[in-house]
Amino acid sequence: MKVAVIAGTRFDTARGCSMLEHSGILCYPIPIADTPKEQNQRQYADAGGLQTKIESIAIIT
Amino acid sequence: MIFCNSLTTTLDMKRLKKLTPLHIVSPLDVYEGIARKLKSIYVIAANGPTLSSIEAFMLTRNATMKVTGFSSLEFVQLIEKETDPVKIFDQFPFANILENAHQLKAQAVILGCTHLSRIRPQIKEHSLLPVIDTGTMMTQLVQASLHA
Repeated sequence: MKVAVIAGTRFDTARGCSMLEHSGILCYPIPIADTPKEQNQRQYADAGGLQTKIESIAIIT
Repeated sequence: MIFCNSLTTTLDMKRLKKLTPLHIVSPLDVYEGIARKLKSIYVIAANGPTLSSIEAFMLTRNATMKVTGFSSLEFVQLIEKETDPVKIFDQFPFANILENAHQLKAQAVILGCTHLSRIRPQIKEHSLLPVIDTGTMMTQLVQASLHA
């Protein structure tokens, strides 16, 4: 089974994948922002957009 | 299966779960257990909305729980920039934050940001309280559910 890892930044997503892959679990990384500041902005100023983005990822996945 | 980070604390997870048949593992699964077992926690989060959402999540499940905490994007940026976990720990006042948690008589320190898994050994070494690493616990939940 493959696990989709949805996280804030590329770094965070890679960390999540690394932790899972260390346990032998295959991952598909999906970062939603390039930087911690961008992730913050999405949470503060565009929570609705963030919800829509993650919902669309969940449906495609 | 989908594995999410602390972003999920600001999402409508009920709505999200209705849209996909996939099993979603998120920090909220870890927080459910904490809300049932502990009476006082200290949360370290990346930003105010996450800290606030964690507090709200806990208090709606355990109204008498004492939730205190600290949030800052600075340690997240430092963790993304610096590669040495010891240097990361030393460059940010984590020791003071952990002392603060102890003074406030929390039962445990909750790492409410998955970036903090990077310096978990340093945090555990300096904390007088048990440390609950959300990222590591989520990994264990994924393993358990794959083997169920």
